[in-house]
Amino acid sequence: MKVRAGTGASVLRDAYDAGKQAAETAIAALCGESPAIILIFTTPQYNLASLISGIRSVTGTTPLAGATSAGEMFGASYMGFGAGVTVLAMTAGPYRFGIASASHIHGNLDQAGQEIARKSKKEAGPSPFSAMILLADCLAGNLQLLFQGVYKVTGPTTTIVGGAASDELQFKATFVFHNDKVVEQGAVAIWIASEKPLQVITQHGWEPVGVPFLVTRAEGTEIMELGGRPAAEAYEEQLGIDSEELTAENFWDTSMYHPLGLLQMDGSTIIRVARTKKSNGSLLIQGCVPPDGSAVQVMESSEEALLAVAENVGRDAIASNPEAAVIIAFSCAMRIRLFKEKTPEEAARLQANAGDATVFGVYCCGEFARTSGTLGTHNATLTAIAL
Amino acid sequence: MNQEKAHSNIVAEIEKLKRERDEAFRAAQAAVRDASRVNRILTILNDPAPLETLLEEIINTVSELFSAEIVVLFDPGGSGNWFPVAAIGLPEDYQFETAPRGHIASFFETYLTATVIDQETIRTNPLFSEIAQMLGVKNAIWIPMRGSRELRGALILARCSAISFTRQEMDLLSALGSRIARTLERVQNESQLEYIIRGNQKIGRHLDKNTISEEAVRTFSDMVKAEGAVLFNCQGSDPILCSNLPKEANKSQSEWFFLAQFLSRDQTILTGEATSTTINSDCIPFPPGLPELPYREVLTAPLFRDGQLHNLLCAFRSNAVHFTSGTKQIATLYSAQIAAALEKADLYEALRKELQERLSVEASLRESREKFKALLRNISAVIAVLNVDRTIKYVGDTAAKSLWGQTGEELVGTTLFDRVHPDDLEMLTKVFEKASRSPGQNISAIVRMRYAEADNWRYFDVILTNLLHDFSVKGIVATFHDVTEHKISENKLTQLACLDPLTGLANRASFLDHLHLALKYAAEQSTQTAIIFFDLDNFKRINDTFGHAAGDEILKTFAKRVKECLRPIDIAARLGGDEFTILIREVDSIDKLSSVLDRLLASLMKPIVFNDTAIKVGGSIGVAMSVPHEDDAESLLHKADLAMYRAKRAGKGRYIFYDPSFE
Repeated sequence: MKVRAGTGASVLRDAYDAGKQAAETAIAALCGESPAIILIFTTPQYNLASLISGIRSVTGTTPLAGATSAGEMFGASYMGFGAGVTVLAMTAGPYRFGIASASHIHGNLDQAGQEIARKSKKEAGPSPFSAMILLADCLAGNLQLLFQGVYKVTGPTTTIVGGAASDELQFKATFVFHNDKVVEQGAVAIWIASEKPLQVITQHGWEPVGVPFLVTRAEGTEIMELGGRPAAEAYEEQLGIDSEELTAENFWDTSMYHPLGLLQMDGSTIIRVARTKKSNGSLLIQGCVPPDGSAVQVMESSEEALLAVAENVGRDAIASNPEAAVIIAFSCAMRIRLFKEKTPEEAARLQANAGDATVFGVYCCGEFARTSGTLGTHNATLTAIAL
Repeated sequence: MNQEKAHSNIVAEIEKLKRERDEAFRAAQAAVRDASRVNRILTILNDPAPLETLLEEIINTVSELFSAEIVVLFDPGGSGNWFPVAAIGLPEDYQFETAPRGHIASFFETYLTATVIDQETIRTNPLFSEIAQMLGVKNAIWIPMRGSRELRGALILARCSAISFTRQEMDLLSALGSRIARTLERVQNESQLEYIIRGNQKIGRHLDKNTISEEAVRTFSDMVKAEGAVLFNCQGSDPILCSNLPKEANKSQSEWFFLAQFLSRDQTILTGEATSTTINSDCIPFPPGLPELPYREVLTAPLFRDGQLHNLLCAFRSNAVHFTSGTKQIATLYSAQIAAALEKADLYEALRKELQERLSVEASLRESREKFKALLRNISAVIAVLNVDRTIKYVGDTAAKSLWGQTGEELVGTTLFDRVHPDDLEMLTKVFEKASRSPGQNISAIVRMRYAEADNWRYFDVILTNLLHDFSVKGIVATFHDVTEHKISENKLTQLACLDPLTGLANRASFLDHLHLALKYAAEQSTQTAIIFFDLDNFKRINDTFGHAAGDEILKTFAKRVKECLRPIDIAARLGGDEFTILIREVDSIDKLSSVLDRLLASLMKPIVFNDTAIKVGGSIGVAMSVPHEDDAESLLHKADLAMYRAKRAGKGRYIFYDPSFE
């Protein structure tokens, strides 16, 4: 039994009306079948409670999860900052769903991760394979801890994918949704119980430059030293940039084109982003900080290589589950900055390679995808699951 | 052509250089990645985090660094069992087969070095087969963790991907495993030392042998991660002094006795060191027929006293997991601590018994003393020992306070005579001097003594007994018995016997006594005594007219008026009816006497108001002056009587002096 997926979007200004309109479109696309789960991504600019009411006025008590974002992928379209809301309605197909959420998770990430994994798993019931869509407040701290908490319950047989909610890069307050609740400083997990393995597809398109460094000192949100030297100095030298050229203000303009790659066992890298440099020579990291002793490389890429990732992810996702009705994608808000006016191409290329599946995606402040081991937090990366 | 060739050579060279560069980068990547693995783990191991946090960080980091979906850490050396102390990637409710002689135990025995678990083992070994199938495990590696002196645990890493563990990874993990083991060793050692420090504080609070024993077995089993502990007695028939074993068998069972006997002969034990022994027939030659003990490993630490082995502190594990060298060292330290505490408790017990006996004796004494004090209180007596100079050497505290309002401490050193009424001082002085001269005799007197510092006099019957010769006393024992109440009653009786009940004046008998004494004194001093005799002129008529009440009132009023006319030393008396007499001592002259007589006559003539009626009474007065060595009381009274009749006859309301012519 195949999943049927219906998507809808609205750019109406009134939150309730927008929610209702998007939901109606999504439900209509199910051709009369009952939805088993509702997933929504929205601009944070709406009155969110009103928006949820509008959606629930259509979807009723169908379990709902979602998050505020930094833009949405709606099929082949890109909806930019403040554009509106997108709604995905899915029938159960071969899956069973469970949803759980936790609020005010900061300082309690591991426990919160375990809790939502346990609850959502219980709600969905046992199955030989499973996947989880994890959405969390990007301002809640080191989300790797949340991920580890989740993994303690899921183990390796559950594919984990997702992203950190955004407020269109304001970094003031982000929200996730659980049924009729707008959850503050929280996380929500959708457990997908499946009879067959589900894969998460992850690519970033970045390549290392030069020799790797050891992080010799990292504290809080900063890398203080790389290879025993001030981190900013080592970073700039690697790129052949004069240290006076970059200031705290203009650092981001360069560093977003040269993130750091956390070296993995198989030679692959997981991306981390230096947001700026500080007067003491340290690098301020956006999101999860590579711990002391990590091996990192300065990365580089091209616009084309980064966009090509969308094609690969779309192709691999649909290959992993050819019967999928939808590809749920999580891309990084930083990629919008990199692509600028070409941003819509990402959704378009993804959709172009998604076969019959519909693309339903979101731009996040950090992506979740467990590929191996317990590490599952990414930046400047595109990750997706085909259902 | 050459140019083309040169160009292609250059291109080839560039490609070669590129390949070499990429190769160098890959080599650098591999080197840095390995360095990173070591650094990441060492960073965690150097973090002074609590054990639980440390274990979690280790397995998370190992999982991340080696792309292992499953990481399981065993630390039987620390935990004493085959349960994983930390794991990630396993289903929450998954239970390893951890039987004492199960597969984990056999892995520890079989794989003493890092070993890649081959596919066949993964598929068939009961330890892996189920979990491998459930989680899709494709590769696994077994890393024994050797501490500074012995094997203490192991790591299992498993991958669900097809990427095999390499030789380099195995070597690296072996090295890291050793570092992890040493770190766990250090943390365990610190934790055990903390037990010892805390135990010292806990045990230090107790002085009771049973409490110390209970605390010792409880702490010892927790400290060395055993399932329970026993404190064996090496002397005596009952081997188990104290135990907290959950599976403890009957204390009288002979296998325990045999074990204690066997361990107390162990050479390591006898040299004062703790030892870990596997409980099986290979290690301990249990006689045939003895029931099997429910434990497989015992850690034994000796408790010595005065060079003799007194007790054994034993901790038991169900698994045959040796206690580590570090744990044995800690056990040796702890048993010495307990030995000292038990010795202290024994000493305290001995002291306590002695003290109890003393207290018992003291309690009897105190009881006697209390009874004695109660007796003293009841007899209202102060017992004092006086020095020859009359100062107080000792005085009973309670009675002194009760009777004199001062404590014994306040009174010691003061002069007892300071407390004596001035009028009685001379008498007491005489009595004291007499007592001083009369060893062994009881001499008594009644004196008034001051209560506290106020002018509040009380009567005391003082009995003085000279015990200056008694070596144990060396003083004059004075017993002061408060007889104030008795004296007051006595005085009241005296008054009743001497006074006229209606007027409060002296009665006839009392008057005559006073007169006798006055005449005697006057004769000695060659002075004169005067008697004034008078009656009321119209008393019979008043009585008849106004009634006896009026008569009594008139008598009382006159008695009061008479007293007001006299000096304190003069005595007025009612002889009976309306007859009154007055004794005037030490009469200097007739003139002074006349002034008294004028005042008296005026008071008699002054009317008395009774029921708003002024009653005029009047009186006739006769006066007689004594002649020294001639007059006695009766004769003088007679003379005054004659003079009074003369005055009556002369026309009432006057006074007349006796004259011999009246006879």
